[in-house]
Amino acid sequence: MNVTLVRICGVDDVPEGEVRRFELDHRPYAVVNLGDEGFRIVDAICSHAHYFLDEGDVDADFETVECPKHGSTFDLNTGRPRTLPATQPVEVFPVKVENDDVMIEVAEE
Amino acid sequence: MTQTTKTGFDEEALAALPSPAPFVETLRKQAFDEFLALPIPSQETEEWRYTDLEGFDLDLRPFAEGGQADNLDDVPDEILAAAGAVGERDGLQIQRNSEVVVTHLAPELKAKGVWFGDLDRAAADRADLVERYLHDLVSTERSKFTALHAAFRSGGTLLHVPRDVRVELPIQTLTYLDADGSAVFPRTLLIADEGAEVTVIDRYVSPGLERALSDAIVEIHVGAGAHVRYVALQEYGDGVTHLAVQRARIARDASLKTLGVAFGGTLSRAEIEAVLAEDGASSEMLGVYFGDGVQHIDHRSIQDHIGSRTSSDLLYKGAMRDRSNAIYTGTVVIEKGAHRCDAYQTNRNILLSESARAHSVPNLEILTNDPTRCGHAASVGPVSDDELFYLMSRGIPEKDAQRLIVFGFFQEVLDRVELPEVRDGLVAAIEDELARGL
Repeated sequence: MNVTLVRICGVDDVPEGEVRRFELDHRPYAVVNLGDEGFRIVDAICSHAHYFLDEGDVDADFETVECPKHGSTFDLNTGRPRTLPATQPVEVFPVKVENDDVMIEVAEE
Repeated sequence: MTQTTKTGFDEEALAALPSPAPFVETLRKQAFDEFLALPIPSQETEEWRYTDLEGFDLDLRPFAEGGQADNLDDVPDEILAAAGAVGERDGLQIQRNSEVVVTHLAPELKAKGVWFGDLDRAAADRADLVERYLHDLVSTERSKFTALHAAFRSGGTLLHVPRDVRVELPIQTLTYLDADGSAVFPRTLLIADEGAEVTVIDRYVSPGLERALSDAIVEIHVGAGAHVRYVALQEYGDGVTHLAVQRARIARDASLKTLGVAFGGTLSRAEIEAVLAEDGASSEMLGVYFGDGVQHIDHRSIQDHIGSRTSSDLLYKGAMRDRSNAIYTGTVVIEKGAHRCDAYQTNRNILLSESARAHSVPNLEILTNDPTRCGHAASVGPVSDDELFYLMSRGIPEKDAQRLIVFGFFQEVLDRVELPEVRDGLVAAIEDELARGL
C-alpha cells in the first residue's frame, strides 16, 4: 500500500494543549497539539458512540483525549481506550511537521 | 448423601474467598453445607432427565484471578475485543474469571441513584439491598450447583434502578473466562423498582479451553409498572460447561422481555423462569441456539402465572448440526386464582445433519377454568425438501438455498429482537455458524 503526506492544517491552527477537527476527502481527523511533544492525529469520531473527539478535552500529561459524550479517554499514541465505556481503539495516523504545516500520512487511493 | 468426588471446593478454598459482609459469610457456610449434602443432579429426576452430569468432575479451581485495573491499559486486547462494538451503553462492567476488572456507569445515572457494579462491593455498600434480594428467587439448595454458586461466588453484578428512573441506553456486563481448569460463578442481581425502565445485556465469552465450569445465576426483580429487557449472550468456547439459572419475579402491570442466546460451550443448560406474580404482569421470552460438533444445549423454561390478567409468550428456536443435541422442556402454569391469563409457548428446531438431535417437551398445567388463551407448539425436523426444491427450481444453488431457509427459520425471532446491535450480532453469529458448513 502506498502512502502519501498531505497537509491537514497549519501549526498555528491548533493551540497548544488543544484539539481541532479537520477533514480530508470528507473524513474527519482530530489534530492534537501537545506542545514540546509534538502533534498527534487520530480518527475524530469516538469508537464507542460516534461523537466528535475534538469537542472533548486533551490531557497533555497523559497524552489522551476525552470523548465529551460518555467520558472515554483515548491514548493519542496508540488509539487504545484507557477508560470505559469505549472498548475499541480509534485509528492513529503518522504525523509530521514541515515548516509551518502539519502533515498527515494517509494511504493513497 | 455425602459428596465423594474429588473436588477443589473445600473449606480451605471457602475460607480464602473475599468476605465483604457478615451475611455473605453466613450464606457461604450454609450453602457449602448444602453443596456437600446434595447429590450431583441425576437423570432419574424429571428436571435433569435429558442432561447427564453424573460423571461431572468437580476437581476445578474455585477461584481464578482476573486482576483489577485502574484503567484499560491493564486489560488485555482480547478481552476488550470480546466486549465487542455493541453501540452506546450507559454502563459496562468487565469480569475476568473470578474478579471484576473494571466498571463504568454514566455519571448522570449515578446522580439519579442508580447503583451498578461489583456484587462484592455492593454487599458492603448496599447491604440493605443485597441481603434482602440475594437468593430470594433462586434458593441456594435448589441444586448442588446453585449451592456451589452461593458458596463460592465472587464478583458478579448488582444493578439497582430506583423508582421511576428510566435508563435509556443498555447496561452491559462481560464475563470473560480464560482460566483453564477453573470454575467461575457469573452472577447478576437486577432490581428495577416501581416504574423503572432498563435494558441489561450479560455476555459470556471464552476462548476454547480444556475444561471449565460456568455456574451462573441471574435474579431479576421487576417492580410494579417497571419495564425490563434482559439479554443473555452465551458465546463460550469449547470445553466450557455452562449451567445457568435465570428467574424473574414480575409485579403488577410490569413487563419483562428476555432473550437467551446459546451458541457456545460444550454443555450449555439454562433454566429460564418468569413468575408473573401480580395482576397485569407480562413476560416475553425469546431464545436462539445453534449447536455443532458434540454440543449439548438444554433449555428448561417455566411461565408461572400467579396474578390475574397476566400474559406470557415464549418463542425458542434452534438449529443443530453435526452430532449436536438440543433439549427444550417448558411448562406453563396457570395457578389457582389466576384468572383470564394469556400464555403461549413455542419451540422449533431445525436439524441440519442426520446425526443432530433435538427433543422438545412442552407442558401445560392449567389450574383455573377461564384462561383467555393457553397453548403450545413444538416441532423438530430437517430442512424442508419442498422449500429447498422451490428455491433450487428458481436457480438458487443448494447451499445458498439452505442458508436462506435457515435464516428464514430464525427470522421470526430476529424480528422481535428490539436492540439493533444485538440483532446484528445474532445475524453475524448465525452467518459464522453457517459459514463453517451446512
